[in-house]
Amino acid sequence: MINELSLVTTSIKKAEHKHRLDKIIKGIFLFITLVCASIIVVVTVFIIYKGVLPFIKKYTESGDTGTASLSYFFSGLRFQNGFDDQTGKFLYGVGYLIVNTLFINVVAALISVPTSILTALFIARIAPKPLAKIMQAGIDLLAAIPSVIYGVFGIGVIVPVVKTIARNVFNISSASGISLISGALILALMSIPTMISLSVTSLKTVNEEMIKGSLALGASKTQTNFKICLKSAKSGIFAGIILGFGRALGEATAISMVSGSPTYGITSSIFDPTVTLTSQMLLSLGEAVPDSLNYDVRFSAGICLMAIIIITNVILNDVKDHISSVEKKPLLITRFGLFLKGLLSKISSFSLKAIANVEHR
Amino acid sequence: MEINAGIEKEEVIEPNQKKVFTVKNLNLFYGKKQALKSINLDIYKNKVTALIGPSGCGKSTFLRCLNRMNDLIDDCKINGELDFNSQHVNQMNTIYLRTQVGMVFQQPNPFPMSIYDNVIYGPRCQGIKKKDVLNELVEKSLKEAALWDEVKDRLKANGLALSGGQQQRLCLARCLAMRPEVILMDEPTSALDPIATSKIEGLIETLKKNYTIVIVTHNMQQATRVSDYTAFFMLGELIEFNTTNEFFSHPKEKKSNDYITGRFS
Amino acid sequence: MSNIDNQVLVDQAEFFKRNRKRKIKDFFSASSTYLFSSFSIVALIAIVVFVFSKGWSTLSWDFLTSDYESQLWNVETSSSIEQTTNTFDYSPKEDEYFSSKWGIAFTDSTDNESLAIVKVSYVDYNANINSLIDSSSQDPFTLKEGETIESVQLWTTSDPETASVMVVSSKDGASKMQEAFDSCSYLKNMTISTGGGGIRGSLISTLYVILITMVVALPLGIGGAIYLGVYSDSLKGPLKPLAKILRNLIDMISGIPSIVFGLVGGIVFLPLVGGKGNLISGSLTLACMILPIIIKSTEEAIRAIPKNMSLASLALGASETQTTFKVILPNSVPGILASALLGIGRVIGESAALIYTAGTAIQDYIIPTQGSATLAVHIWSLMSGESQNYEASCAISIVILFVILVLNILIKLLSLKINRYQKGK
Repeated sequence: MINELSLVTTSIKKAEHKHRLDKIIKGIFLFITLVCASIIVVVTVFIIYKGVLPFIKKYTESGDTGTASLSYFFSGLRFQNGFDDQTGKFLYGVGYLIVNTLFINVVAALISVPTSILTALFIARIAPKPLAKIMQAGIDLLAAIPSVIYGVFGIGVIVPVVKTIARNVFNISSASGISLISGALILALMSIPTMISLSVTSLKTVNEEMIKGSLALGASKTQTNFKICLKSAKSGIFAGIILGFGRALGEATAISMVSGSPTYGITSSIFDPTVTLTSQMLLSLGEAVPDSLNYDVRFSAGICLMAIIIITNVILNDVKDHISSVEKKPLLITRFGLFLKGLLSKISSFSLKAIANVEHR
Repeated sequence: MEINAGIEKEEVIEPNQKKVFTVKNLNLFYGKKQALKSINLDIYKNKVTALIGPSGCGKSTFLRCLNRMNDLIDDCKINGELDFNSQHVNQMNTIYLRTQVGMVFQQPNPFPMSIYDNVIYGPRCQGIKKKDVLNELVEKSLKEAALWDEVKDRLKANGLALSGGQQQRLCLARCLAMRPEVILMDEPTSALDPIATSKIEGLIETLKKNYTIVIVTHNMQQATRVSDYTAFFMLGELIEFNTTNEFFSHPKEKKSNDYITGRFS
Repeated sequence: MSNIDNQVLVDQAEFFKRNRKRKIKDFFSASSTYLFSSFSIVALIAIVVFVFSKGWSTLSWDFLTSDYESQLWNVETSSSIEQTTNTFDYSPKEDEYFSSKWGIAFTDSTDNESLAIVKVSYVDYNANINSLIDSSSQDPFTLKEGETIESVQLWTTSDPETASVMVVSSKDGASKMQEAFDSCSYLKNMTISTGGGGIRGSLISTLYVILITMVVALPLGIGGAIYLGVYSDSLKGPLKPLAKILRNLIDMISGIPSIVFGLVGGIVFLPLVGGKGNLISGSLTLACMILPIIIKSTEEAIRAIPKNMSLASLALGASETQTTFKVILPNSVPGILASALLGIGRVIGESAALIYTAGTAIQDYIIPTQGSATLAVHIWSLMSGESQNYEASCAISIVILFVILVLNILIKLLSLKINRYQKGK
């Protein structure tokens, strides 16, 4: 009996031991997860710290001492414009880069959105099954190609084609092919696979009953595809577009290879070379000395890039919720607009009252 | 079986009744499996024909033959004679057939658009664009489906925002907007609550003045309430076809009797 | 306009008229899908065709294994070896030019930049040209087959007063070189080179980066996935939203552009290893970038395991830890493999982040604590200079694309294994 008792106590002890071990191990895994999750916090903190530094700390470059000018930062048309003796500030401008970035990405979206929606419709609904499988595999492969190779393809094929078209069709004889449109084409090519994948998934899961209903009413297959399937898959297609657009905004290597590196101004023609936030951050990296103003101001550009990505994400997601909800959720913009309207009317009524009071006296 | 004496029903099949569909020796195969065996049946104009029978007996499959929705199923082979207004159905333009023969499904399936767009979807697909024609169609169809009063102020609202019964009436209105000759209904009330069900059954009564209706139902009481003719299917065969009154009071086949008395369902 | 009272909407004749219009509209709509689909596929084919056509000829075992820097020697003959009498015997092959006077055969070839060069294809055992001296070190130098003759200065006699000089270089071609050798009897000096343009260094750098990145990222990623997939469901009360927050934070990592990672990696990781660009810092940066990929794939594989398995294990008296390590981990190995392959695919193609943290210098001898270009960065530096080297870039691209293709196929096979529980083993 004593033996059995000791068996029981040892097994209880063992169980408690196991339980404690469980807690420790669970804690270790939690710790690991916290480390992973903290990466984004660390990145954000560093970028903001280093990015704000140029406007706070005084730098000494080739004899001049000062901070960077905030107003020039947002309005300037040249990345590195020297030192302004009057204000005592360094002039580093990214305003034009922001405009260029948006310009090239909008052009790229104009190309990639229709292409990916129609291709997705083709793969999901129109193509015969074996062809659809092959195309889907091809699209997956396109998605895996690294950006440098897109850059090589861009310089090797896209740039000469654009050059020929610009010279022969548009009579722009100075075109070298290194241009905004080449960059936009490459960006479009890179974001199309992402957009297609999500759209295909969405289109494939359209309610079969709805399709049957449409056909039973005398609609043709094509009419059903365009009027019902696309409408039904709206939110998935839009989600794919948002994801692809976000990726394109962050692209650096391929753009810098294909769009060139002009140092001045907002690009006005699609056939001119252009520089974006991302490609400027890559340029002349070799000469940038850590902790110099030139180096730190790239972080400021990084903050702008992140801000643009986050803002476009929020706006586009809001639009997506609006168009895909049943009750038509109001857009943030309209709500903001209504808020402003309310504010203005309050202010005007208040000031009217104040004027009336003064007159009364 | 209670037969509702208040509503006029066919006592006998009149010999000069106009036939909308005539079916002779219809066989249907899903691959190797035969789902319909030698069906001989007539659908009469401006009458309600109910197709009843236990699950898997082929009544929905037969219904789908009438507007060629079986074409959507791979490996489905049909032989025999199926005529719509004396034209062979398999020689007609499928889309044209479907404009003349509409269908309401078991699960309400309104499109993700406004109520207005839902109703005129069919006519729009046929190229009808004139605003006044469309507006009139919407009002008429929604009135015929007894939905107009409930939605006339919110025609632009999304169709999916309606309740289940309203959605099914919307699907009916959508069907009616095509002004078809025949309306096929595949268990239209099985997904609805009793109040919505009775609304639809009342509609069937008024609609049959202008339309021919074929309704599949697994609910015998519903068949007795709404239909003029009843066709009893079992295991792919048509066991018996007669006026509803006659079928339920004096069934000719033993199998019909067994079904009516609830031996199997 | 109440002509729609009880009649049909469209009678048969009007139907067919409208039907024709509809068919035309449908045709245009459908063709637009065909058109745009072909644009996407044509682009893919164009990329592959372009890369292969430009790079295939440059791709060779030599290319993969030789140094980037070519080696150069300046050599001269030792104490006036004059080639007057010996006639060497050799039957030259079709593209060879044999100098019977000197006993060397020359052949035309191209280097890794597709420039014409002349290579030595045969040296007779007894040839005097074998006893050469390296001009700078005065060490003996033996001419070997496969080496390239960059240029050579030949005199007709060894007497500087009477000799006439012939200078032949690689771009003159093998035939001219052979003629020059045959017509001169004294070799003044010669520049020999070997190798060059190879990508061995970049290949090794890439392998180092993959290794270090995986060593760091896999344990962290698998650990995170285990927590989120196994333990986080049992969070209770106020801690319940923690799992969702953690998952969101990890997902947000994939939204950060790689160049931003490069910048931050530069200030966080570079000081750890000396301060200048190096492979270890680059790998650490990449490890952060691929964490979301690894965590997502592994968590998916873990969640694909039927709950019954872990419940059965617990019911048998095993602890949570034992269940995790003995039941869940072994069964999620295909998923872990797939996530590793996905991570490797991402690492191979990454350029922007590495440009910042590992530098763009193409090295031949790799030390992890020094900067070096990986394959992708190698392409970048070849293409962003004044002159672009299409051939070498495309050759490297072929290597990268091939690896990505293989990875893709493996991942697809693995995902079939992961989902085996859905269909039943």
